[in-house]
Amino acid sequence: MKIRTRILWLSGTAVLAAFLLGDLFLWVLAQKSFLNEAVVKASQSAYEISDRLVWNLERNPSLEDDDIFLQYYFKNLHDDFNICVRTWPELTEIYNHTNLSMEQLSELEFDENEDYRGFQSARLDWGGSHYMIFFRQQNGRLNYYRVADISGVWDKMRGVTLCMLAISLGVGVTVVLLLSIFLKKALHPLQVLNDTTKRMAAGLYDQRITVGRQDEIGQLGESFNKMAEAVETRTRSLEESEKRKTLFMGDLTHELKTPMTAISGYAQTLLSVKLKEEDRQEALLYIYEECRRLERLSRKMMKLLELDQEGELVFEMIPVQQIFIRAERSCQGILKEKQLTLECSQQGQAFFMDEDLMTDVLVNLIDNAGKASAPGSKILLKAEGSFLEVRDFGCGIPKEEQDKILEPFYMVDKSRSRRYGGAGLGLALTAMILKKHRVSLEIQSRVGEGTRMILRFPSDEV
Amino acid sequence: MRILIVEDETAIARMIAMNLEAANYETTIFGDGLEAVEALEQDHDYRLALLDVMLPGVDGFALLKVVKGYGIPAIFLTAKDDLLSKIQGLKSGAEDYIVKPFEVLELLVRIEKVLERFGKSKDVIHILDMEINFSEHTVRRNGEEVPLKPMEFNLLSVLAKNKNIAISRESLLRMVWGVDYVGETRTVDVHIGQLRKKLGLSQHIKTISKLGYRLEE
Repeated sequence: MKIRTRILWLSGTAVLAAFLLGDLFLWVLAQKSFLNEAVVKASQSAYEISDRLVWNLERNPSLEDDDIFLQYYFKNLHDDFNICVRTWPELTEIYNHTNLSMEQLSELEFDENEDYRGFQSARLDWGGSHYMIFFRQQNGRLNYYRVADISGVWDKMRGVTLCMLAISLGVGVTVVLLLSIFLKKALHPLQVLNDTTKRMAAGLYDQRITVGRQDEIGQLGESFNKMAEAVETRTRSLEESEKRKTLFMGDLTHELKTPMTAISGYAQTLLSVKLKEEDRQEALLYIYEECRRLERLSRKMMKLLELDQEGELVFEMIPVQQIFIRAERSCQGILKEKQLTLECSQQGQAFFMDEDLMTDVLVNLIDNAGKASAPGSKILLKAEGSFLEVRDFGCGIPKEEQDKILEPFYMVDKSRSRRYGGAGLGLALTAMILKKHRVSLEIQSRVGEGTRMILRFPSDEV
Repeated sequence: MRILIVEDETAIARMIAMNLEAANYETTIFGDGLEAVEALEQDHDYRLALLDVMLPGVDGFALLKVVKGYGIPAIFLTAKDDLLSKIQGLKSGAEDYIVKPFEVLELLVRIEKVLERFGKSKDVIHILDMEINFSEHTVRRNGEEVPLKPMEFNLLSVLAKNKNIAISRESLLRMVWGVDYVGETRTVDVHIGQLRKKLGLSQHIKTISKLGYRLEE
């Protein structure tokens, strides 16, 4: 059951019960007061009639035995509610114009206590009507009864009851209706929250709800939005990493295919084609070269993987000079081949770093600089403050390519990079190592003027 | 029979060239799309073009238009084997689409099929002391016709078209008798025996162990 329905049911029942209880109480009170009123009214006329009779009899005592007079007297009242009975010398009914008989009167049990006027009273329910009977002994030999029909009280009570029930019901319905409207408004955000959650569950992570309230529901909404934000960010980053991985795998397969095609093609050719001796040599050489290329690729891949898996980095304070010397030694090959000069300058800095990996970074950057440079030009390698810089005066990198060069397998000039044995992983590897060192890489390059690769170390580690 | 190869991977370009040369084609290699376009302006006497899709300079699709402009049929060679690339490749007007890595024999057969379709394959091949006429289905040795059974002639044709290249018994069975033929590789051996005997080719049809047969010139 919906929470709104439940609250409505509960509150409706409670309101109705409270009203009915109140009604009962009021009903009892009203009945008492109505009855009282009727009794007072009836007794009033009883007193009057009886007193006047007493007055008459006192002035003329002989009339007491005169039945005719008494009958005439009561008849003259034009009132059908009086009974007069003689008790001495024997019990005779002098006047009775009511529906009651003497037997019924004699069976009545009157109150023991007389009121201040000497009247006793009794109740009688007979023939669908309710009566109140007053009784006084008159002058010792006459009994006077006054019968008052108080059925009107019950009629009135019926009206009152209906009225009270109608009011209770009306108020109850109104309360429930108002509550329903209020609850609908109060619980609306929950409905919205529910719908939004469902949409999110279906994969629409950009869903948010408008809060605009300060109460608990408002707080819930705010928390929900925060959660949705977190989920969206996390999902997006997962998706991106997944996409990157797929792209990487695609590129990798592509990179593997070319050497594989060459190797398998040459092997098939050597096996099945009758070749000239020089062609045989060439084919074998190509197979060897392509195998070397695969080996380089796999070595770099391994390094990327190791780095990815939080491999053990040894961070130490290493003098810049030390890695400069190591890097220069490793780059002898390309430097000599293109007759490049490497100019190193530093001011005795030392950085907190992994010596082997940072040397790899420099070798990579110098290697790239060498590939970009024209034969005979120079490459600068310098340390200044908390910066390291590798600068060449080669062909430069077009602006639109600068963001992409850090991606795995990206090559600005594919065929030329291949010629020098590149796999397109060098800068990706470099970027990863630098990230581990919290070193930022800045690329400043102009086509035709050269490239500056600037490594900015965190200044607190100088 | 000149064939144009545009492929930026030197290793692969040379490998294709080696095989085509062994099968008596002449080849010209370009490693850059732009260079190829410029060179074609001067000289476009090619029977067929083999084009890589991802090329520096001008890419394969653009190059294809140029090549077709000279009436040269083209085959794409590419590392991309997703369906979309294949469809794009074939829709752009290439005669065929070969995905790397490929079998050398497959490449040769496909080249031959394209050439046949364009009527650019030769009707008559002269090899050793034989003259094989494909339209007449005849073989003359020193001007004298040698009677061959249809399957023997077909087998000789395949070997002659792919001369200097060893072809496995399975491939021969498939290429000569057809894909549906349920026979044994023994059949190939028997027919090779017949060819050697009838045409005196015992020295020239070589049995290459583990591979198959090769007709050498």
